[in-house]
Amino acid sequence: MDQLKQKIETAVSESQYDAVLALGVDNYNYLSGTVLPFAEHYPSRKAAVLMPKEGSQVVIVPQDWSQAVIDQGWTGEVLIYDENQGYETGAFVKAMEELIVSMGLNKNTIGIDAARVTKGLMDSLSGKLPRVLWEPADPMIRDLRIIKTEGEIEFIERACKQSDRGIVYALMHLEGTVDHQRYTIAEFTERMRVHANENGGSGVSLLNCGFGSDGQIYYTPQRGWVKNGDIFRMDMSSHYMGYWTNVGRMGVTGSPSPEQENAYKENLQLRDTALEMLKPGVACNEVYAHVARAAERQAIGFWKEPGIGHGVGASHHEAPYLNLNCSTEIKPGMVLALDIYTYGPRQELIHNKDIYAITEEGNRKLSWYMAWDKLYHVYGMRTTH
Amino acid sequence: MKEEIIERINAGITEAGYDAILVFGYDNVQYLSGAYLHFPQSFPDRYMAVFWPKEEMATCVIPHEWESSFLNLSWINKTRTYNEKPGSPSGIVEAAVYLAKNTVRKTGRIGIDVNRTPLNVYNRLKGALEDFELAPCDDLLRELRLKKTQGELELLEKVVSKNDQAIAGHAHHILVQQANGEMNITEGIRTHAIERELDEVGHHAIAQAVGETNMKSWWPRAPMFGIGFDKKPLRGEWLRMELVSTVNGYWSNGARMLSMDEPTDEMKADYQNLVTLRETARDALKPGVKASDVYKAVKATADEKGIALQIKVTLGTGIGASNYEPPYISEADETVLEPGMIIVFSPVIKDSNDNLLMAKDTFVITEEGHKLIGWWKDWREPFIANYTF
Repeated sequence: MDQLKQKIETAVSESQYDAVLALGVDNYNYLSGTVLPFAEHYPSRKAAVLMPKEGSQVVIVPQDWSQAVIDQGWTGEVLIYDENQGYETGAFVKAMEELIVSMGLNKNTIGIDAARVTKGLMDSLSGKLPRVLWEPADPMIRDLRIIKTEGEIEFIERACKQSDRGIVYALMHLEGTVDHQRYTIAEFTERMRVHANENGGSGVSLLNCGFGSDGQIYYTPQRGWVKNGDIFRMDMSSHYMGYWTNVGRMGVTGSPSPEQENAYKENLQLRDTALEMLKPGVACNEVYAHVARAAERQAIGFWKEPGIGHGVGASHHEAPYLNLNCSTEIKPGMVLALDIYTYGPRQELIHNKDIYAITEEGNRKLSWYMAWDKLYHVYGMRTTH
Repeated sequence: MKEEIIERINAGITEAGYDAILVFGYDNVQYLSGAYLHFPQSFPDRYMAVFWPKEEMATCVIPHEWESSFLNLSWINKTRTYNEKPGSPSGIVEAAVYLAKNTVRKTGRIGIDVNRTPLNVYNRLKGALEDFELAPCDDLLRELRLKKTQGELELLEKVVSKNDQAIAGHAHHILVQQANGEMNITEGIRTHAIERELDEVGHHAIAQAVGETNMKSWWPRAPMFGIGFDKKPLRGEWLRMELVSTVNGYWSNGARMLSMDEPTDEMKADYQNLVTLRETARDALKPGVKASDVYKAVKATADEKGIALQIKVTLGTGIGASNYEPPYISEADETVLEPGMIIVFSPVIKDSNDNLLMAKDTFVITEEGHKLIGWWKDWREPFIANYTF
């Protein structure tokens, strides 16, 4: 990942800012190369990375997160703030004020991720550092993140393999149990998670299995039992060293009906249509429109409002977006999750979400571990071995 | 629970003088709507909000993809979806502005949770709602969430009890002679949580089993948090067992110490330090006492007895629609404790080997003082793993 570090440092040094301050958990991860323990779930606790044009880079973190940052190879400074020195973000702001003054940046221009910092925190920082000119650095960060380095793509590819193996291993446990031993949906879902980790994954976020009618909507709490005859959706996002994948797979318990098989085939037809356009020089919304037209022409029911995909990288959902509104031109180095929703015989949502890196020639599938070219059949008798 | 919370919110909006509130924080949205979706906070480029006009029905503004899931779980039955635009909050702002302009009188006062709302979203709203007064409503939300309703307390007590039971449930499987490694134990705790119908989806719904010498860190094996090493705990060592879990989006946060066979005298003394700090906290946890005074009392005890208390973090937090919320057992929190508040007291101390020892105990503040909830066993001593053969 040295290439990425160099890329970021060059961008900061060539920017119009004297320093860049990132508070968004995803931006922090990207710029620092370190993953925080579940920071997005602690909105009143803050961590940040400050990257000056000159001088040492600094991460500012609570005490219990600091060792994790160091253990991941952070070579800059670590500023631990005392959470008892201010209410909620107060202690963080105090530490930031002292740091920025000590670095001589208190009369300078600092780029900040305005799409992540809250209005309240920005007011506090501005109040303590009134002579700093705070400028939104979101476009710069977006442009950096949207084109991946080879190292980043390699990490995403690993995450894809770990995720798919996590799902497949869980399915293997399910086989032979549907009519006999029986699994709860919560246990099956947990098996996906733990097998992604067993395969080397660093963490799992989005986790959902929708069986039967529960699969008609995006997410339902993981309740009830796996039973025969259901088409089901398995969605998972997981990361390898902070680089995310976001896959979705389909299975059926027992033998699939012709209607179920046909519904899945229709979905793959639209996927193949999208792949024709997933290449450099095409705008994201052109890919979307191409699929929408094909769905209409072939009379395939298609849930168009969510779009048909998005980027993945330092988060599991990021730019660019394959939807009606995103005119971003597809370029080599982008990594996209292609996610087309169609409908099953009982209006179950069907998708087969794969990850593709854009190459000079077109695209390369990163989630190649299994073809998923037909519904995964879960069947068999229970036996011991 | 639903009726109590809705009544409180309506009363709070009226008393605070808002014509409506517009709330973006995932935790605040969950509190207002009753819908626990485990994923919105991991989509920083997607926005979701609840618009709640005074004495009227609330509406959730939400991306298409999540709408039906939200309606399936929420007591709010009105939604407004929007077209997502890349890198821009304009879609949700347009939807929110539509609701504001059609519900609130011109020049009306709209509360925004500015401690959760991204700056770019706020600035667009400000521009689009220039005839309205936008005012922070974080204090209102804080007050609403701080003191739990009876229904919330009942749910939390259930979650906390199951959480403790899940940790102890797996602790029973740990035998000194046949111990598994940390990874296996971690998963065992999770499995016992799921068996007790705790929800373990979501990025931070985690378990963690940490043995010596990995216990020197809060989060060993970064960034593989909550996965564990293959280290097997040995006779005479500590094992730290942690579990964060939820039911319907109401959280518990537990940690317990397990001794591999009968603890040595040194281990007993170290564990007693955790007990002493808890007893000090118990003396202070009652209505009318400031949260900061609880912190000071515990710290004074640690100083007096030479306990290596980790003092740069808070010594406890509230739980509810998140697992880290006010009140904080912190020198900086002047909140006066009141009945209905709930606190996880969570001191972290170092033993002579630099291991971080933890115990997390949950207290509800009552009229008389406090009620300790969720103890599956009496934690005046650690869990002691059997030797067996």
